[in-house]
Amino acid sequence: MSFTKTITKSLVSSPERRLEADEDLAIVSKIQAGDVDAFDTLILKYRERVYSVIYNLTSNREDASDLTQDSFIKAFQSINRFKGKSSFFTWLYRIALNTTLTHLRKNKLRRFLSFEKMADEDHTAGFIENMTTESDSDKAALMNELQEKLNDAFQKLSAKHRTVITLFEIDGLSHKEIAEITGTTIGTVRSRLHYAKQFLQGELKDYLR
Amino acid sequence: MPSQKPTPEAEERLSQLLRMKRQERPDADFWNKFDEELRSKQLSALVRTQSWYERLGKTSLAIARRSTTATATVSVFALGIFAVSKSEYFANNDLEATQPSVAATNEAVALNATNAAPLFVVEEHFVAALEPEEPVFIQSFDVQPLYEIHTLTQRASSSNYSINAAPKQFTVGGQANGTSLGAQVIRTGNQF
Repeated sequence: MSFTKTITKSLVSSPERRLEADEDLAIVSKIQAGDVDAFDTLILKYRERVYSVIYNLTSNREDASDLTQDSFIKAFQSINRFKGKSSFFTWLYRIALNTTLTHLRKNKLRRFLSFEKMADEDHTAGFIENMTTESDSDKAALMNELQEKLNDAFQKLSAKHRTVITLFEIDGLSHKEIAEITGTTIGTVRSRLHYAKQFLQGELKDYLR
Repeated sequence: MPSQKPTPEAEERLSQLLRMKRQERPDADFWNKFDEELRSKQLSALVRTQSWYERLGKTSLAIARRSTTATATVSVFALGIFAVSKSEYFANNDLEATQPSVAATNEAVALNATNAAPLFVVEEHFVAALEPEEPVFIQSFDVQPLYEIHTLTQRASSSNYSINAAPKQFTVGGQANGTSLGAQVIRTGNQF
């Protein structure tokens, strides 16, 4: 266990992440020892984040739900092969990404998008407020339009660019963490991020003025 | 692909806009259903039993992986034996060693001693043991005695073979009972 912990420490950057990784590792050890119920803790901890990443990659809530479940099942089935060479979180994200990218490759022609409702929070309201001074109903319509446009622009990005921008801008991961998850270098992550942002700016220029 | 040189303001607005996507969250009902389905899938994954052919396949694969060299050697050896057993050289040698005088022919013909004409023919591949018996005297109601050849039997043959030629009766002028008529096989099937 000390060996895997050392490796994990070297890969996980911030102290919070390190603490989180050590906690996960303790849970994983329990599961590997036969405490199957301990996996529920990991599901509860990561299900929303994993779902969010997959949802932003697919823009389809049903697919995202299924793929999130499949990712957890795959992780559960392979938990005994997890040796702690990366953090559990990185390992789980890799499984989720591979599952999603395989799904996207198989369903290239399927372009049915469905959207989650945006939670009415200050951040969202503030952004819309800045864009219009119209009535509440107009703001709601603008919100829907914006959401649709944003998801549409997202889907025009290639899967690898979409992955990077989702993990960075929406999930809030660092370049290093993204590089680790996607199996690329930090330079590649930065380059993809720059390209993806440029593209989205072009697509959403009407809303960014 | 449209692109635009990013300005700090536009970039900040884009980041703001993208962070809005964090607000796209499913409600509690969704998560209840999600947990239910996941629990069910998890249980299925736990209790899933392999079918016999999956088990057989995996076992075979495991054995093959562990004994690749042995498997390869046995396969090559078996293939060699098969090839040799099927080769013409092997088949001919075997026949020649046992019945060198009859293996080269396809038909068995008993000859009448007097005119050397074939009495009957055995089709190719027939297996029969040759019993070089003398023709048997059957009757002598008239001047010409009647003989019958009983030289071919199925004693050494498998059930796949049968003798098509019926025993031939023939007469030989001027021969006494019990005299050798000199019947001989001049052509036989290659299984003799």
